[in-house]
Amino acid sequence: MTDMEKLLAALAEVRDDVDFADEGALVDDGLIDSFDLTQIIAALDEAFDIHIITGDIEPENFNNVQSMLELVHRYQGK
Amino acid sequence: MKENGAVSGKKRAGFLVRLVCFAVIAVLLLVYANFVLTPKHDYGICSMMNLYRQPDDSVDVLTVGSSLAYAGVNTNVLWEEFGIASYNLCSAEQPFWVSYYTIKEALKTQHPKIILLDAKAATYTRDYSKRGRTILSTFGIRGIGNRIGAIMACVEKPQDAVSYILGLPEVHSNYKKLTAEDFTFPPDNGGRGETWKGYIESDVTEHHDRPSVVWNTVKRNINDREEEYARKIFEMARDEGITIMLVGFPNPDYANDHMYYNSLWAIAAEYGITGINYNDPKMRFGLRFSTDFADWQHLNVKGSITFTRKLGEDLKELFDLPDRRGDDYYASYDICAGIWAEKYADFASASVEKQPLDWFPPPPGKLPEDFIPEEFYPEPPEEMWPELPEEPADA
Amino acid sequence: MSILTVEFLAFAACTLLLYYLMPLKVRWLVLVCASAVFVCLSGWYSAAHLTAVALVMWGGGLLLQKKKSRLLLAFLLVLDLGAMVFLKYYPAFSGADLILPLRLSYFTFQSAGYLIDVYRGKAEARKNPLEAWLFIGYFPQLAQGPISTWKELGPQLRTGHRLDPDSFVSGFQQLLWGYFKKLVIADRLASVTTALLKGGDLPGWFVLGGVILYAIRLYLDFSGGMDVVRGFSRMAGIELPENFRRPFFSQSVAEYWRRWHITLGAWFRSYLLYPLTTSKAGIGLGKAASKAFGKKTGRMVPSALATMLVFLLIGIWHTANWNAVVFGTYFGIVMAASMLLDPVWKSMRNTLNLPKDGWMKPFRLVRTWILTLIAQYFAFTAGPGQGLSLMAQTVQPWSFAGFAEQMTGVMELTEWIIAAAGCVIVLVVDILCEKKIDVCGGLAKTHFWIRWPVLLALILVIVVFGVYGSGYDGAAFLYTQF
Repeated sequence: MTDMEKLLAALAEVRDDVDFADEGALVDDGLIDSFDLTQIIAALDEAFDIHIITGDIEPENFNNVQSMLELVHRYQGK
Repeated sequence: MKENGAVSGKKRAGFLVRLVCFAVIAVLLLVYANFVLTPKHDYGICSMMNLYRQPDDSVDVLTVGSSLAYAGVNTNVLWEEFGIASYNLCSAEQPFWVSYYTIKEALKTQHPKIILLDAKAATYTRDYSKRGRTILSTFGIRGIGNRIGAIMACVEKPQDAVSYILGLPEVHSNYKKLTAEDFTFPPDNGGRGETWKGYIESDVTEHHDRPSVVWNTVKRNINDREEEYARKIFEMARDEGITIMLVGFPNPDYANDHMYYNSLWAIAAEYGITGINYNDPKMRFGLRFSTDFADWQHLNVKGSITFTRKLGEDLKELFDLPDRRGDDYYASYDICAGIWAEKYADFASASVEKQPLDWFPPPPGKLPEDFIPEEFYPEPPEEMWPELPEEPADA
Repeated sequence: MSILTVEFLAFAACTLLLYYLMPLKVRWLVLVCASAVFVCLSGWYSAAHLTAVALVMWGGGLLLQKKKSRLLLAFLLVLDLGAMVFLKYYPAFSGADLILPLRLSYFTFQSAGYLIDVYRGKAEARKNPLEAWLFIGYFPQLAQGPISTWKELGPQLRTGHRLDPDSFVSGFQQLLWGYFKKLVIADRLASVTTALLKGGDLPGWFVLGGVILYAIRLYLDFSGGMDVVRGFSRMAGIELPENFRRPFFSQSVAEYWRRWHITLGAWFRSYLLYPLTTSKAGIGLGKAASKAFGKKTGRMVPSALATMLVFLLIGIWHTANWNAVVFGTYFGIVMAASMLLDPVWKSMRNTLNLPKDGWMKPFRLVRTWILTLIAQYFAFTAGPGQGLSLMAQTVQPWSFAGFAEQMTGVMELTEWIIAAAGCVIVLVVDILCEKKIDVCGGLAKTHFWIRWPVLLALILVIVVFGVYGSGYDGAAFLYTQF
């Protein structure tokens, strides 16, 4: 299972009605709100065993799956 | 944020020109709105506004003062019986500071020989004007300098002056009372234009007994600000070469005023100015307290005729005033008197034929309330009612 | 100096004129001077408090930049927010009469945000204390916000802006629009609230209508004030963040709160909600709850609890009384419930085969109105008791006898007509904006013989029909006291 598949699976747990893979402006377009964000962070915490700090909760880090993956990799030190 | 570099200097200059044009149009619009919304009120504003309509230098006697003066001096009697061209430039409860600025404004177009100054202001104890009075006294003045001067003199605190100077903050809620006449310039308040000389008649009768007046020589200090502006008026008249005559208007409630009048006469004497107090019990000219008053201090139509006849005689005796009757330049006085004569046919014929007025029945019974102008401020109507007594006058 | 006064308009106009007359490099100093004058006019106590907060923020920022110390941040925040909490709530509990620095909470929040941003590395601490001072002391925002982050506002204030005709015109239009909303409609509706608060035997329809009008008034009052502030700023080339995005078109209470007082919500989200829910403890709580309630619901528990806390704080921030507690708790519960029950709704919708959009949209709209309206009963009343008794009056059988007398008892027919016409105009414009039609920009683009009469008419309407001047009690903006 690649990291991307892992990420998409984790995201699907939070919101099954949003097509995460194809959206480019998840936060800016209001597809996910602050509550979804906190749950995504919880989901990432669990799936990748990383703890994202509050300072990184910025729209640009969560607008699409690529940025999220980069964020995850940054925390994993890859 | 916009990229500012993209805007060329030329575009910016064009924009500034348009901005200035817009501002000018907006200001003109607001000035007009201010004019429209100003209540064209008889009891002060209208007499000032109509003064500008009078032909230049067509007033020989200018009466300045409170409601006692505008209800007392019957300009039509002065014209019909004495040929005196006079104008009443008065406002309800007018203090001397307002008189000062209104005289100053009037002198721009008129050069009266005599100014009749109502002494009543000497009795006022307040050193500012209340809101309604401030509007009545200043909103008719067109000259910006005198208008601001009058407003500054009226307000209790200087910071209050801003909204009066701008005007609209004070009168904008008057939109509910607008009529088509409010939009025309100059204002034509029910036909009261050039052919109205500032006399405001009061066609009701209230019975009074002749008051027991203590005719002493005791002086009671008049309010410092009233004194300051009385002196300013005296000085201005001296500089302009105009004769001032103080007038004590007959008044059933006079007893309280007497000692203030004594003070004013003393101050005036310093300038060589004198006057006539028509409350003098020795003076008998046929005024009847039972029939000649509209209320506790204002003369009614009949009273104003009796009083003005005496006043006219005194003016003729004291001063060399020309008889303007028959002069085309003064035709508006004929029209004014004509309109009045039509309205008060009985009185007018008596006036022309110089009949005594004693035989007249009381004027057609109108309720005294008719005289109360429709209130236009969100204030209690008493505000607009000229000089209500503090306590019931039972003199 | 209230932004309602002629003095403020004159002051703002002079500031703008000076701003554009000065060389580009020193334009920001004009803003500093104007703000200093403005603050000093509000009283020396306000000026001293603001300056003290600015100094703490400036010095603290520099220290935090050097050493990212949690302890130091905590100390600074306690100092900053503590002073506000003390001044704001001490009187409520003790009855003591402290001199409350004007518009205290807005600049306090903003300075606290700056410190946290510096700590998080999102803002660079300013070396020049004047820059720090201007960030919180910038005078248009002192009255009612918006609460900006350093990133949004700081650099814009510091740069000199050239006169840009487009933003100048658009700013002026927004300024007028704000005065229209505030002076012509909101202040006119004040007498309705007064009638409601006076109590007595009011018919149910009148109470309900009054509360609805209160909600409308609050929106027009606050957003109108915001339009004035943002409009003026834009005339100077400064873009302040949006604080209202037509909240009455919201599909849910959560969305309503994302569109009402946006910057306050963003502040609480960024500096309180996220730190709580994404902290180790927050995530841990979520994990523990997942075991008890299942993964989906469990993970929502920290968010739900934090949301309740945030709303309680927002409620208390409005006013320090029991109503605020009711108000905050109510919204907290509604939001938490909607979050926790979301899976239930979803399965219900699937079972009943309800459409996702279509008629569900107006249904959700009305549902949001009702849910927010309930809270309004506690927004303007003196205490929960009064709110509840008004609610009880609302549901009593309605009698329309004496309708006309009841209405004209509040204000004259002419005034009702003006208020109604104003509301219709705002509604039309808001609907157009909601449909992504840029009314303001469109007007700015029209030919001047359409634009000028419209603007002149707007000026005239504000000046004539506005509620201001001695004839009226110029009702202060509802929000400045917060």
